[in-house]
Amino acid sequence: MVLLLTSDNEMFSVAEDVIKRSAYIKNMLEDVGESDLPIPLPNVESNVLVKILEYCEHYRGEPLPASDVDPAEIGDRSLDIADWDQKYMAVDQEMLFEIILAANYLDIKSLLDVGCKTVAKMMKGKSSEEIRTLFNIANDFTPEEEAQIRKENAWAECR
Amino acid sequence: SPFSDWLDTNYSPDAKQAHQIQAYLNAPRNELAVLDAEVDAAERALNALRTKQARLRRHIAAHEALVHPIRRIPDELLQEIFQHCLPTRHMPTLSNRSAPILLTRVSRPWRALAFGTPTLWTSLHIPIPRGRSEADHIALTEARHAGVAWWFSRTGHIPLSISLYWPPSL
Repeated sequence: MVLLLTSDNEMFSVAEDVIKRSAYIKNMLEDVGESDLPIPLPNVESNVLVKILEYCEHYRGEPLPASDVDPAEIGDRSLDIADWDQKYMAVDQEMLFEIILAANYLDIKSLLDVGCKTVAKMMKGKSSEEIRTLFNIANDFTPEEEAQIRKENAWAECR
Repeated sequence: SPFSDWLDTNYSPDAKQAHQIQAYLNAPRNELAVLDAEVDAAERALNALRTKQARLRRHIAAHEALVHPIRRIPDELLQEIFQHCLPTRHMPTLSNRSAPILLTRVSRPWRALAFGTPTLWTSLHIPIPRGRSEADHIALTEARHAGVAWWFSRTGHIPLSISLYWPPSL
């Protein structure tokens, strides 16, 4: 078992084959060897780690992707997301982005990829104004910049 | 009302009765005027409360925007998300309504980041424009040429992928 200590000081005892989906933890275990000391995760809160472990547990036993292969590099640019992953990602935006940050920190590429795809799918078919509303982004273009953008992209609308 | 028997009928009161009816209406008309004033005052108070409510909502929303989780996402992850926004069934097009151009129209930071991500701009589908006349065709072609030049000025030295479409009648 591997001990993990979250940023809010909660200790988790996790099976090694579950948490090894994290390349960060896997490498650390290989470098340090067996230890009773917990691995501190200063960037991950306990509620997020619970969610991350749910993902790792679900894919327990499935082959680990080669650590140096980025799904983007092997041409996986479709927005297809497996059914279980879609349900797993049906969370509020706060948790969705926390999962993405944690997946990045823990180096779980498949989870990071699903997270990024989920956000991209949320934006699909939306206008720039709708995207601003979706993510609470301010329209910080000055009127002059907006005029410039319209002008420089005028060719984009001609058929 | 002393005139309730006549209400909702086609009875025509004589002059004396009409005078009595007018006199009778003085009190309810005064009461209605007072009530109208009270309703106006209540509506003004409600409008003032609604204005205050909207102002407070805007105040809260502006502060909530500051702590929205997307602001904690570092640029390299946002770039990854942008990459997934590109069309998946065809090459990107010169359209304001789809990525990557759409991403440049959301906010200044997104615009700078999208322009600073050459891999968003390395493929393009170029439909050859079709004008109604020779002059129209030349103008459209020049505009498309400007757009393509603008697009590929973002790519640096990365290999490009281009698909072209010629309308059958050209």
